[in-house]
Amino acid sequence: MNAAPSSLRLRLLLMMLAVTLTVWTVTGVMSYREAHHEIDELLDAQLARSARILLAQVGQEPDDVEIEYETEFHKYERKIAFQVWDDAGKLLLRSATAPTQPLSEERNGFSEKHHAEKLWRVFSLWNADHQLLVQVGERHEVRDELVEALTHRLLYPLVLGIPLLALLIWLAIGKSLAPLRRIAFEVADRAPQNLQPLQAGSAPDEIRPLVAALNGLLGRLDAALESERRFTADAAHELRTPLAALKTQAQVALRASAEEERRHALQQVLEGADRATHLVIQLLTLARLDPGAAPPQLAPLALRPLLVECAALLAPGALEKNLELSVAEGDATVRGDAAMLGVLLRNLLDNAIRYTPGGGWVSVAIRGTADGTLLEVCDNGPGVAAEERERVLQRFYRVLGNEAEGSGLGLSIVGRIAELHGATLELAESEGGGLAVRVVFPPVTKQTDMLRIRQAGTIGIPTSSGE
Amino acid sequence: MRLLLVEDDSLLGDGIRAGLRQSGYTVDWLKDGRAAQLALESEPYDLMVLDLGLPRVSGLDLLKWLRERGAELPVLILTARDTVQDRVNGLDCGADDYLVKPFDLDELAARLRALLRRRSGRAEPLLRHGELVLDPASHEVKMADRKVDLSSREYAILLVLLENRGRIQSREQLEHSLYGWDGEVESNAVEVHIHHLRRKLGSELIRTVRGVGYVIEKDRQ
Repeated sequence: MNAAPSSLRLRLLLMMLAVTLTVWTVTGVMSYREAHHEIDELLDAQLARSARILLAQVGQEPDDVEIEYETEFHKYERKIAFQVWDDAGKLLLRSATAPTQPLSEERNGFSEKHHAEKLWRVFSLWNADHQLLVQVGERHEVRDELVEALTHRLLYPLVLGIPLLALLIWLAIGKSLAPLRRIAFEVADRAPQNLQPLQAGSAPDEIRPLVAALNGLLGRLDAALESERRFTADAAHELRTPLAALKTQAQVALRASAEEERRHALQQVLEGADRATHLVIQLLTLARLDPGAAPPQLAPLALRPLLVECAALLAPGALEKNLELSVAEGDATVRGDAAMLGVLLRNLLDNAIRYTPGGGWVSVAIRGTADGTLLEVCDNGPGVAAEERERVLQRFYRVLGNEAEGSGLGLSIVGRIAELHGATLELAESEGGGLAVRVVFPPVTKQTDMLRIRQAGTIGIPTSSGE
Repeated sequence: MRLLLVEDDSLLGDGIRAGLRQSGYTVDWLKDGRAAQLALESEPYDLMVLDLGLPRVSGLDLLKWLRERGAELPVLILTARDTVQDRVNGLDCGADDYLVKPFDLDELAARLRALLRRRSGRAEPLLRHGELVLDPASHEVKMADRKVDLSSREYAILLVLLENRGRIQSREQLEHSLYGWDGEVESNAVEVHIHHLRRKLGSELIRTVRGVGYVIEKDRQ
């Protein structure tokens, strides 16, 4: 892993070092102050005690004014001095280190004073019984030296510890980030067609959501690719039969000796071409409604004008079969894409006209209901058995035993468009014993919310007759 | 030759029926597996052309059912499924040959001829009987190297009798292989065609077994 400035490892290291140093500094300053204060207290107490001991000793007459210690017991000893004065201000006794002037003008308690450019801390004690003033002083620098030494002792290991600490942090972060590196490596090392989920394995809790999100994405990709593969295979398969019919009929026409036979075969060639064209158009329509394609731009529009236009387009086919095609009164506004809803209406009407035998009827109605807007296309054709209703929404599924030739895609297209509009699709039995297809659009105000939920949550064509 | 075509696509079925009729077959065309089962139970067929994606009873199920009943009828499968696994499945279920859509009518006819040839245990494409030679591919009939013109019905009867040498064919059997279900059978049509064949090929060739039927005897090579 590179220690580039954008490296998480380096950033974490720098941050942790900065935090550690700040904490250390603050602790150090506070400890220094605390130590200084405690040392002051301690040494002041010693000064006071020394003064009292001295006072107890000088009850009898002193022999000599100056006391010289023969040997120094401690390096700080030179920096301590004492003086004993009588009431008249005569120096009775002093240590060799003490000046001849009073250490302090104070007669009682602590004070500070300069002697020979050195600052002294002095404790003065006046004894009324003996009429004596005892003054014990100590050079102030002792205290500073003590605190300094203490602080140094404290700081040295810390300063020496910083590189070691940095190294340990560096290694620890590296170890913690290892699962991330492993996952990155696993993803980078993958073949494009390998969409198996990643192994979360020992990944820490913080990385699990990332792995889960990646796996979710991989799963959706896999489903989309699989659906695409299946669709392509199905489409190719579905095109083979019309192509075989075209080729066979063309060959029959070429071989035919009788004019009538040739005409019949050529008619069949034309019909075959029409059917193949219809299939290709339906396939393209479905491909454009692919989950990967851009979502439709929905705007409020009136359903009835679209319906009337579609019905007018398909009426000639209905008349040819002697079907009664009727559009009931009523209109409603839905949020939709006009072109897509046109395809939906055309497919529903085309299906009804295609599968209803001659002499039957097809009726369409638009109604406002509590749940939204209902679009209903009914016929008195053969209908779809309850157990087949879910399957007819699947691509290329045709109801068996039907004479009519369809692409097997119509209801898939309708289902997909309904889904894109947040509408539900339901198949039921019509009053005439045929098929009733109901598309329920949500109320205009609610539709946007439902759509957002649906588009976020689904891939592929729903089999939602029971919704 | 009477052939059962089972294909649910109306355009393709119509085309195959027309094409095979041009090749001289009598074709019965059904659109679903159940109807095909009924037909196979009651009618004698020489060949079956079977689509796999059928309503009610699938092509493979029909084929298994047929083979379980011990029928040796040659079956050629027509299908849009072209993976190796699909072919293997089809052949393992008892199909004799396999053709993937879209196909060529000439190839279909040639494969059907090969199936018939194999059924009657011949390797040679031409049917020979003494000086008589019949070419199923070109529908040509020659007697002592001289071409003989036969009507399509006469040719069909001759083909059936030659394919079934030594086995007596009843008048009904011959009528069926001429007309299938569609044609109207004139009461003495078979007799008329036999009469014409004898006139063109010599009276010795086809023997009448009174009250039973007609036969071309074996071993006159």
